[in-house]
Amino acid sequence: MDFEFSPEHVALRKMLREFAEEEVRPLAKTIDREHRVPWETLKKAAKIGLLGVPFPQKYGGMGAGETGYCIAMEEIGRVCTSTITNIGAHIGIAAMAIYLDGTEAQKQKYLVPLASGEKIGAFGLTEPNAGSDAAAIRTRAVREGDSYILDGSKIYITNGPIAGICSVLAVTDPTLGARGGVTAFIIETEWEGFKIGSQENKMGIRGSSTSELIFDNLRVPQENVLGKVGLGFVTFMKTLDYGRASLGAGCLGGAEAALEAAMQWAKARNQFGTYIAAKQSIQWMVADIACEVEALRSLIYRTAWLIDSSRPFSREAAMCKLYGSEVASRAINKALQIHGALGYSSDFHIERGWRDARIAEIFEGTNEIQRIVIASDLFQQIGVRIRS
Amino acid sequence: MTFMDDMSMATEPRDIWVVAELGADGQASPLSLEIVGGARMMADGLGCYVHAVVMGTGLGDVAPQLIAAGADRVHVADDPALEHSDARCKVLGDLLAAQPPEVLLFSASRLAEDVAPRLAQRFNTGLLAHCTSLQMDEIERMLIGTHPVFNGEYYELAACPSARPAIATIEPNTFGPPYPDSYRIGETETVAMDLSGFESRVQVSGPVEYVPPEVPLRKAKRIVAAGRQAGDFESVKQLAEALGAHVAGAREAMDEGWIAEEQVVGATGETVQPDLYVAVGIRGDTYHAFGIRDAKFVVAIHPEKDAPLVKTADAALVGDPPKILTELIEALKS
Amino acid sequence: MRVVVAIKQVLDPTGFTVNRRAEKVFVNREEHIINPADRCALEVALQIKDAVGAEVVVLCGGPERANDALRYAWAMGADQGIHLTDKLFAGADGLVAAKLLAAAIRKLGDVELALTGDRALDTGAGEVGPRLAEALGWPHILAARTVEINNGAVRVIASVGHQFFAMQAQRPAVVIVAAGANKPRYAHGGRIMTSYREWKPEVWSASDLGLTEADVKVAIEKRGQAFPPERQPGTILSSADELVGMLKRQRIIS
Repeated sequence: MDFEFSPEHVALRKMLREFAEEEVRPLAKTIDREHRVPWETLKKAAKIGLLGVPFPQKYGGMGAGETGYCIAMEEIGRVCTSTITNIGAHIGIAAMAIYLDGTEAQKQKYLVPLASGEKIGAFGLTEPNAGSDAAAIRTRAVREGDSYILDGSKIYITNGPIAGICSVLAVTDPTLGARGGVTAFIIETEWEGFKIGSQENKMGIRGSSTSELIFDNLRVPQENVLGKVGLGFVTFMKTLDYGRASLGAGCLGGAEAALEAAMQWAKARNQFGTYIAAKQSIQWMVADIACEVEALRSLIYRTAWLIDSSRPFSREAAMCKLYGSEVASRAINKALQIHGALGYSSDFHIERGWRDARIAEIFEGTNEIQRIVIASDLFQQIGVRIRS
Repeated sequence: MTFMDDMSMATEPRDIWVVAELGADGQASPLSLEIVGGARMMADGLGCYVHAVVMGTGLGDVAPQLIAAGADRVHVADDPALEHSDARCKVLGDLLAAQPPEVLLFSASRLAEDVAPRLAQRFNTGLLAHCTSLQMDEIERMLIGTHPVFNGEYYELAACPSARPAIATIEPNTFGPPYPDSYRIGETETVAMDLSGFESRVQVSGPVEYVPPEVPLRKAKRIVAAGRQAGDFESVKQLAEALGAHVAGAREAMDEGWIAEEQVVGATGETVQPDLYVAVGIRGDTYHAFGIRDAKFVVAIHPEKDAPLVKTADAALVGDPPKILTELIEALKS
Repeated sequence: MRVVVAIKQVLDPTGFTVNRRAEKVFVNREEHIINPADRCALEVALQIKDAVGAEVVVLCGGPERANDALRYAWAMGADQGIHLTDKLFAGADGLVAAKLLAAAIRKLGDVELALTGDRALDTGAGEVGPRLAEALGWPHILAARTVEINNGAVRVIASVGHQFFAMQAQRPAVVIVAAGANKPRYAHGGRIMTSYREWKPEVWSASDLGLTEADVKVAIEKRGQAFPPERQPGTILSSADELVGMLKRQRIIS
């Protein structure tokens, strides 16, 4: 058993660490304050292959696999949650759907510009009536000749305002429901009939843009059906599975940042005659964060290994997302406490980290859903079927 | 061509040679005099002579100064072509090939950066660069130099056991000021050279306008920061200019309208790691101190001797900041 | 046009701390980086490649781990990487380094420009560039900020003190690039992957370079470490002159 990363992944991490410190960190406060997407960073990220980390080089990606992708999410997530959300939604779900179920022609036409960062991607699943209950979507895709006409809307879509290409789920046969009645499509946002709604005003990740996607008589050619007609739900659920491990890696980065910050402050802050690092209450908080970070790290990279070696990974990926989001929240909460009033200051990065962390327990499948996924998978192994 | 370019030495290597340079005033530079003085002490320990070489134009007054500092013989090479590194290497190289030194010392100057390594390679010998301390082991007749590494994080000692001449370039304040003795006797010799038809392989023109890439505050090597008690922000800016430093401040300097938010140093601002941080009128609470915890050398200028930053600074000046700044800017000019 | 860049791998300074009282260097994390000034030199070479289409060959001496430096240099865009290694090269000083590089450049042939950084972090000497020029019999230009190819010459803006001068030399020449002259590009992640999976540097030993043990005898030997004085917090000085003297003595200003 070898717990070392391969030399190419070590070298990749080093380069990304430098990129994160030099290009991402200096803008983190500004993009949160100004509520804007760091376009300059995304352009630089495209140049180093950071917008297509896991995808093979023949599709314009880095060819670094899931392990490389988790490393990237960890390194950038350590420095700015908004930026990693932009990148994660783009790679982990929008482009990933096309990579997993796209035809070769679709990959050449859509995956290549996404992986090379020429265009940004968004993943259109959620609707006002369909969050955790994704099967309740109502966006309709009606067959008309050799195209489909899409009508409906999606809500809370990351990268909505900046995407050039979207993977969208719509109902093709209302009588069949999720099994057989729902189809995935690739749409280009320049097409007639596509519109975005206003930007959402969020508690955190304010450097990431989230909005409604509105389809009004949007004509989609049948070549843009992603995967099989009627089996769109399968494509989308499979994509979300893959996205979970890397999301957990982003949370790992955030938790590591919280731990580092807490320790630096514990060293610098003097009260009662010595640094607060000498106080047991602080030591215990640091030890607790560190244990969880260590466990999370092992979980993330073992799951990345499962994915890279084509082994089953759904349960572990759900654990990455569930545990990662909760570890990150606990870590930043303790770090805030350790910083005292400074942790509450909007001019200091801990407060932003605290606001940014909260969403991880909700999006990409709420933690309640993750628990169901994990329990279903476990019980299935002893013959109990929970999921319908 | 082999690398053992055999310098069939006319004689055994002997004596300590110093390449002396001129200051802006046309006199021997203080560093050159310091090195000649140091060479004198080494030569007395080894029982040999000190030679000084000076190259350039307008060298009239320099030889007596070098002799007073400790040189036994001064070699004067006077020619306008000697402004070029190629000419210096040729003249010095030929001179030293004919009279090979045991030790060859340079000021740690631009001239030395150009010439010393080339001579060291030509003579197949070692170079101890940027020495802040230099000793001659008199028993082994071996030169040992101490030089900074990793931008002065620590120092390494290096020796040149057998290659000759042992070459070293020397930083100021290594030997201490020389004792000029105007009664010392020494010889002055004109260096025979033929630079007619000399053409430098490098053509230099200028100075020219060039703006180097901007260095962000978090990477600045020198910072002058203002606080509430700074009094006069103009003199803070002038001090920054005199030091080639970035201007910054504690949060209150932004409240005073002196600096922008990006220039605030502290927990809620920027964390900096300069080699030199001069805090003018900053009391220095924990939150500001957090931003400078990695600064290498902190200077506090403040009216209160009990101010937190005065108590933790590497050096502090207590008094009226505008007045101290005026004196400091003046002291830096000299 | 063939351009050679000589790079050096140095210990990552963020991985060690110096305890002045204990007079010891504590290496918490032993990692190596490409010497920052050499990265700037590599960036200069790659900009020349972008502008006039040159072939960039990177040379690096050192133990096995120098491979990582060469792979990253290739990933940044260099065309070829050569690892100069041999047990005879252990402990090489500036004299020997210049000989190795000169031998490699002669073996490569058709080299018009050699670039290297002005100072290595771990020695601070700044000697290898001019030494290399002398070993090759080429002119050199120090402290280059910008470098351009112009007909048969190389045109440089270089710093001298606080000013900048325009300098020019016919090729072949050695140009020594100032640290901080530019912002080196990042290597593309895909190329980093490929640099380990499909590429590897060439390896040249002493015999490949035509060097014998006598050729690579060092002149300088390390004899130990010394440390700056312990920090004295709360030192109150009495005058601006005293402060300036202290800053000069501690070599914070010159």
